[in-house]
Amino acid sequence: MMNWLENEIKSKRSELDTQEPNLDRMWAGIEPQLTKPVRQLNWQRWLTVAAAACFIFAVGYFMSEKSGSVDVAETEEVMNIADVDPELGREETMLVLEFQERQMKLAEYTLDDEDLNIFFYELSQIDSLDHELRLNIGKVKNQKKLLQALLDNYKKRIRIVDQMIRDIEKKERRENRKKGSYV
Amino acid sequence: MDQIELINQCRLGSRKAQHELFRLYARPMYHVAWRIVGDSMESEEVVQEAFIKVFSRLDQFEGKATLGAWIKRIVINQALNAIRKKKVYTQDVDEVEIAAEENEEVVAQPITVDEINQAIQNLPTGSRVIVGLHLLEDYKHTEIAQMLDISESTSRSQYMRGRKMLAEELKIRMART
Repeated sequence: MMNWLENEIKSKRSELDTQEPNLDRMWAGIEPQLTKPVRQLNWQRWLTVAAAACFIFAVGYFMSEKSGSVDVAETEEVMNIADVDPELGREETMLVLEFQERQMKLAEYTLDDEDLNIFFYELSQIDSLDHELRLNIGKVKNQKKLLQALLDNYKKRIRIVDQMIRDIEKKERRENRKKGSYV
Repeated sequence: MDQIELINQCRLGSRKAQHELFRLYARPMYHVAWRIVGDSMESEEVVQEAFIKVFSRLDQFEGKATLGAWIKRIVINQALNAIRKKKVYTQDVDEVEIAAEENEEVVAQPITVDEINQAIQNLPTGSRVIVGLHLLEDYKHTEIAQMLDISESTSRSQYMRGRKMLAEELKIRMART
């Protein structure tokens, strides 16, 4: 139930947006970007070739670890976690492997259920954020927190894929029960 | 041009259609961003980045939600990323537990729009974001929890805390006048 304050604010809601943005300036910042191709991961397409992609990613990842070159998943110049903190780099390796394991399991299922779209969206959001954070490795003052945020992103991805698998399996069990009841 | 045609034209890369879609939604989206980041220039940047994403992901829009709701989610995510980056993930949202039904002292006098806006802007970031999303943008705590990667109960307790601080802030402002 709303209290007096909430009611008062709700009753004035339409008047609260008093700030005036400069739309022309904003559009001027957007328009030049629209001509450039936007690089983004297409999770659904990627997951259909998950096994192969995982293999390539794993090989590339360890190659980059050995050579100290840039992360294979990025085209812009970024540093690896291991370049800054070898211990966290090892933790990243473990998380990458754990995530790949989940992806391979996920690839065993049919992923055309529309209910899964929200998970793909969340994963793509984490990718965008991850990319932005990676560009700051070695550049910001509080490296430890930034690297920890990158590791947390792996953990979030793992949790999301786990939830997807649980949802798919739950749905399968439900459908099997339904089929069984007709027999 | 109707909305479906406008979306199709945008998908085909028509600059005119993209500009029209931007003009339609930019102002309300700016206000959504401003409620989260609390700064005009930064809000403009958030909306710019969000619209670049909108145009690049328009193929993924399936029409399950309204176009406005879909764009708003992208703007909110972009704004949340902006405040997270600023704090380099030090503290997403304070995990403060308060009694759920703690009553605020009622400020039963008319409040001006300006007083409400200033009081909301003076809230700590975590509370301001949740008060904005729940009270002004009508998101449910389950949705807010998902957006902020926190539990639903944290969203509720943060909201109660924010509402209490808002009442106190308004009481102080009104005592001054």
